[in-house]
Amino acid sequence: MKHAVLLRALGSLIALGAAAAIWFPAMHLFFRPNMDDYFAVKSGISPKARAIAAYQLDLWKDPGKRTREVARMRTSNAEWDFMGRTFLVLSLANMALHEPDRQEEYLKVMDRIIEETIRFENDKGIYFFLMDYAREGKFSSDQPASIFIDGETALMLGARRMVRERTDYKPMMKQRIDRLVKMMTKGPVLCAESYPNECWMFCNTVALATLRISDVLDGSDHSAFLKKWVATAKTKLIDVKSGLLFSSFGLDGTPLDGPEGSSIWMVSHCLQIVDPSFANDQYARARKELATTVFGFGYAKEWPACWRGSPDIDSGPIVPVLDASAGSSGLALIGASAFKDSVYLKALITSLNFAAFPNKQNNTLRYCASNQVGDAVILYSLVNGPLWDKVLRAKKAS
Amino acid sequence: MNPIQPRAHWLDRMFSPHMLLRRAVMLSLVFLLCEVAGLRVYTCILCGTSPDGQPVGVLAVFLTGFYLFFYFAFICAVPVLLLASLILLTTKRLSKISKTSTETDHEKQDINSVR
Repeated sequence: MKHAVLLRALGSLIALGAAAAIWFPAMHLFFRPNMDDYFAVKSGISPKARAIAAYQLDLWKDPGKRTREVARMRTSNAEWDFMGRTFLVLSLANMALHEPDRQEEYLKVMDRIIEETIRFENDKGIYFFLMDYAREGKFSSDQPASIFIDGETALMLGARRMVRERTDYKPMMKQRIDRLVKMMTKGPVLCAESYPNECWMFCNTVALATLRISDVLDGSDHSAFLKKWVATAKTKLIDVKSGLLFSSFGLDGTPLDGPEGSSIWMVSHCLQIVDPSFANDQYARARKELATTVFGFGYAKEWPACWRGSPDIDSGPIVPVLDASAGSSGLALIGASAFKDSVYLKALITSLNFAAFPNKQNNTLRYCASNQVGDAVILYSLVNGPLWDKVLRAKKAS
Repeated sequence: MNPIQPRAHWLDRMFSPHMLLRRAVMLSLVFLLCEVAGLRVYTCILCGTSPDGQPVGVLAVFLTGFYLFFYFAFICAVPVLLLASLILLTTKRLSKISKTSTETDHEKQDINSVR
């Protein structure tokens, strides 16, 4: 009797095991995207991108809704409020170049975002968009200035001007560019602080991309500086084992954090218009060290095998065993789409459908496990291309 | 009295195809309730965002955990339970058929031998 029962239980366990062996490898098929829904085949905006954009644009049409959305993010990180603006402006710039017919509508929102951002910075100071610990130290410059704020503000101005020139933005951008160059050239490794004695590769490469855009727009020439920066980074700001750029370091180049997924995907994307071959090299290394696909689900780790950090606000929660990082996986979408890595991109979107909890309502789409900045990053990954292409074309022509 | 018997009975019940099916239905129903109650929005806590602009409280964390548990149970466990019960029911039916056909064969042989 006992023997028979145990045999039956064993049989059931084997059935459960067999069921799991059938289900888990097939599960991704239920979340696998039709890529035409996410990326327009020739030009224009894909249905999913349009739905995400509709939600984001709604936020800028309804001040109450926007205030609530921003408050939700600012309880944990004031930076997200700022970065959400940058990624939305970049997305809208690309969308405006994709869809000239709707340029007016997009430019209107871009201008509103830029004007409000600059007004907040002027009225409340740079600390309004920084995390609280920024007040604990002292910036190396006489007047507190963060490359995070200046770089992304200049990038927003540049992106807007790349779609259509606005003469009053020209001196505003020039002022930021001059300050960026001054701050960066002062540093021993040609990098400036985002926080007191904290240089972030993300912010510094955003600044480099902005310098390239300003060259296209205003006929300046920062190519010697950009060349020198890349040469310095290759010798002083790279982790020897992985060959990836550090994500943060002191003003003298001493690493604070090693290579991080929440930084490197965007860094390699920004480098595309600064030094394409270096950008390709960094993306390929990041892909090798951080990108993973399990049963058709793609995700990205925050750290390469040779460097272990601790989870923070940038990495987001890390899924144990898999080492999947929410922050790194979200930004990996930008990397994969910018470098046309369609296999990884499809796997990442499969995971997005599985674990980011999409919420469709009245032709709008948002991801519940994300927030405004996360959704803006996703949107940017779905529409990016035309802006960088325009910069590269102009650079070639010059 | 056999002390093994209650345990054996429990094992038999736990792994019966009907019990697996019942569990799958139960998990699906609870997940459906979570969806209807709108608990999905609480998953924003995963990226460190407050659901309502206030600092994240214990209740919000609990609701997020509750929703996630039943979401992953619905996506990962329910299909496995359904497939396993299908496999068990099929094997049971097959063994019954083969048993019946063996018995019929034996009966035929017996009749033939009597003849």
